[in-house]
Amino acid sequence: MSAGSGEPPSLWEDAVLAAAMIAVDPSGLGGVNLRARAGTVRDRWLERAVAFFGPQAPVRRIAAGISEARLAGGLDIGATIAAGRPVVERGVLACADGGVVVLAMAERLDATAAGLVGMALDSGHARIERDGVSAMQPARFALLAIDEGIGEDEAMAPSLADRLGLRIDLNAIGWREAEQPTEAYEVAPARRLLASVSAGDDMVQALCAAALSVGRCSLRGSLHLLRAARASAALRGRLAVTVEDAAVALRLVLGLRPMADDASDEQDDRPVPEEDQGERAPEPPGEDGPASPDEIPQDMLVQAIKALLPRNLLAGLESGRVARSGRGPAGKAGANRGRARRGRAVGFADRPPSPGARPDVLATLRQAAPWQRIRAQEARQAPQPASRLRIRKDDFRYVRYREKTGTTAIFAVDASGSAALERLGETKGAVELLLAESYVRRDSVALIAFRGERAETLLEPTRSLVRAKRCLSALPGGGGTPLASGILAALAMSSAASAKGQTVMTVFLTDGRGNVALDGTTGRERVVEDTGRAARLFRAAGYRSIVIDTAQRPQARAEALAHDLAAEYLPLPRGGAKVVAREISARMEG
Amino acid sequence: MAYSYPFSAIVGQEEMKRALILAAVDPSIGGILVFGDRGTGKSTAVRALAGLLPPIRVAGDCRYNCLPGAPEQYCPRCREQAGAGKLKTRKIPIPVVDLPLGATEDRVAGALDLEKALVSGEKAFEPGLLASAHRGFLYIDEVNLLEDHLVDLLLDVAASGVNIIEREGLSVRHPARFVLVGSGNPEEGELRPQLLDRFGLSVEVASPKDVASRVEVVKRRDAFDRDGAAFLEAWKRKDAGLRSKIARAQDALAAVDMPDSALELSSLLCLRLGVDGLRGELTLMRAARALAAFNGKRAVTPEDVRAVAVSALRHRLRRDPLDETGSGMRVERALAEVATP
Repeated sequence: MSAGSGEPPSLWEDAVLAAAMIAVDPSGLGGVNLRARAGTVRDRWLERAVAFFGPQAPVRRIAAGISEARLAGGLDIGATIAAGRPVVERGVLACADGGVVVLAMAERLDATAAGLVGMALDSGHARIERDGVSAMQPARFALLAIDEGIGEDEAMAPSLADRLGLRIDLNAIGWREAEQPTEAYEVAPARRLLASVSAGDDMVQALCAAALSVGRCSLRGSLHLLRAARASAALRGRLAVTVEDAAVALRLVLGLRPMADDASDEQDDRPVPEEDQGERAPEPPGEDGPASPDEIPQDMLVQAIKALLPRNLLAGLESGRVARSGRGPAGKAGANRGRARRGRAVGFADRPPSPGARPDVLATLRQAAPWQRIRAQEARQAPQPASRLRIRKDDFRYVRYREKTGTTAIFAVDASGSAALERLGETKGAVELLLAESYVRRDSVALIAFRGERAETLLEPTRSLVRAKRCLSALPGGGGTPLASGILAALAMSSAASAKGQTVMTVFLTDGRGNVALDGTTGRERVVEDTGRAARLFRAAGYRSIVIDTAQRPQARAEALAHDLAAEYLPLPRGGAKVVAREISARMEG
Repeated sequence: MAYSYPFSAIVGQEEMKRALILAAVDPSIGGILVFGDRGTGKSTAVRALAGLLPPIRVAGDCRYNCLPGAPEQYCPRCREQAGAGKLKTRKIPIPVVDLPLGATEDRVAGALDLEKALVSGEKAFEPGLLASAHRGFLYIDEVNLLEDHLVDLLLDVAASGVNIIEREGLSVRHPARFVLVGSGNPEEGELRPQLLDRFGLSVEVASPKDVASRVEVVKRRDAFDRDGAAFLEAWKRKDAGLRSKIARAQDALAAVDMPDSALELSSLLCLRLGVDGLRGELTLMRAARALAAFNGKRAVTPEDVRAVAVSALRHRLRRDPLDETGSGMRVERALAEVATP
């Protein structure tokens, strides 16, 4: 039997209790962050949760791919044409007013949609300012957000997670357990009682202290604790919050509170026994302001490098700020970023976003519709060929897409003898810092090393910082410099990542002194020719790259390499860090 | 009934509150950027401004919030009414316009009036959010998530003070001067660097790390949620006191002296920090003057300059590769250095 003795029976009971609590105080608690895979247990729980809201409460299910217009409402074209005046269509959020919104695959909801939902949770209204209509519709609902993400890479938008008061995990509950009867909660009387439930000052203090001790709890979390404790008391018919209610709140609000993510590598998703939930995960990098590099080993070397590297070197990836030196061709990467041809539709443009883009029929009609009467009048004055629908050039609308591209940073590290002699240690330190920075921004990182006869892919694109670090520290130095091979490996990896819709940037850390040709020989002419050819290929593909010169003194060869690659060139600064850094920043901003 | 949380009841976050007050005293300081932790009352503070700030006088039912007595800036309708001597004046709370995510350009800038076009076939302009925000505040939560083209539009208009619509057979221009307030969480993406220094002041907010402040926040918020009317009543006097202080500062602003000592300190600071351009220095001086006015002083002292230096300059520093979070610290350091010549 699955209801084994080791499993605390409270898991399912707690889940049901959370469902009842959210029904008691939907506006105070916001919603439930539900970690659950599809299956019987989840279905049972959702049934129970919805039932607590009563038969009249509207229930809307939405999927993560929902458009902003459907979510917040917009112009109802059909009704508008039929009525001859603008008719605003209610969005899903407004339709769920007074009830429940079930969001499936919450981890896939994009930041803008999450922002809209968050705004509605905060204000109790869905606001529309689009398609020429402006409206504010009441939208008070409880959000049951199902997070089906597996592992650390997938989690729902932090702005949304922060607004959901309760968190439960159904993954560890067996289906048999979910068939067990649980305590029957009476929601209606509890709702009436809620406003009269009081919490003593010492109770509030204790809850806030608990929230702080967990260390990764926002202010909303503290508030949620109090409200959860109160909802629990109301369900028990109590007029004051007791220690028992506080314990419920600590379990359901704090225990498994997710923040952006955390740097714990092999994080297991089984719920931990309640006693030690407090010290479960290390503090996520995000809460203490951007990128506290605390999680980096306090290695002296790393510290030293930290002082030397432009912190936002990789930020250029996102904002496209790192200028290319030389005139690289308008590359694929650029095409992916600004003018996606696929992905999520984010709006309409009045000119084609890319040559040959097809106009969107619906949007064009929508644009032309309000003008029909005006144009008909004009047409009567100036005889024009009769047509039922008057569509002009100005009306054409094109869908603008935004591809949800991640970013992949490829580090191609020269681990040859010459580099090892010089500054392989520092280079490693630098890469580690850059890795951490990439990680904070949830980029993927990949690692290629070139030494000896050819380049070697140490790490395929990954988001696991730990793996990347491990690979890096195990990287030996010595041998020749198969630079050409390194460039080609980076190119191959860039193409693969780019084909998956990723934005790619390669960071070459080398002194530019290649001395091994593609076939492993060391003939000087051959080396130069191969390196040049590889660089040209790379350049022709148009991927963005940076060459960081790791030589003792900035080398003309590394700079020439940067030029050949159409890459940005940065000497790895040493003594006069400030001077160099300023130069770097200027180039990045300029 | 929805109440808005009273400004004076916000616990802590002094830098943010002061920045908002300074911008209210002198809107020419420019926009305000509030970046930091979630749930720290960013939105609450901005939305509370409408209830806090002195109301403004507008022309009748003007949709552009035209300022009575400034005929050169009237919209066509107000001009017409003023010509006929029928322009009425009324007081409204200062506009604090929320720009929701997902807003489209037509609603932000204004576009063809759908209703009129459909019903009567009339080609009329429907003013957008920029018109509503004129002479007030335009608030964008999660500004870092806003579509680039909208951000560009907003900054253009904010800089020029005029909104120009030339499309869809409409040709309209109307004044749109507002204080742009953007807030966001750096975890969800940074703001493009060229946008940063378009904001006058930049403040950082963080969740309080001590139990006492947290308890206070939770208790006040809870009291507000349970009985908004009573809570408002309890804080009414504090808000009123603040309001009259701001109103006095607005009146006194023009008369506040800017002595050479303060000017020198501003220049020295900007020089030391390598802040390019005039904008930083100008903002620093304006903010210092607004602060002096707010504190009822007749002249700006070096202390005023020091007090606002971090907010006015931290986002204008060239990116220091050492650390970005520490840009506030760098300003502090420069302040200390300038103090001991």
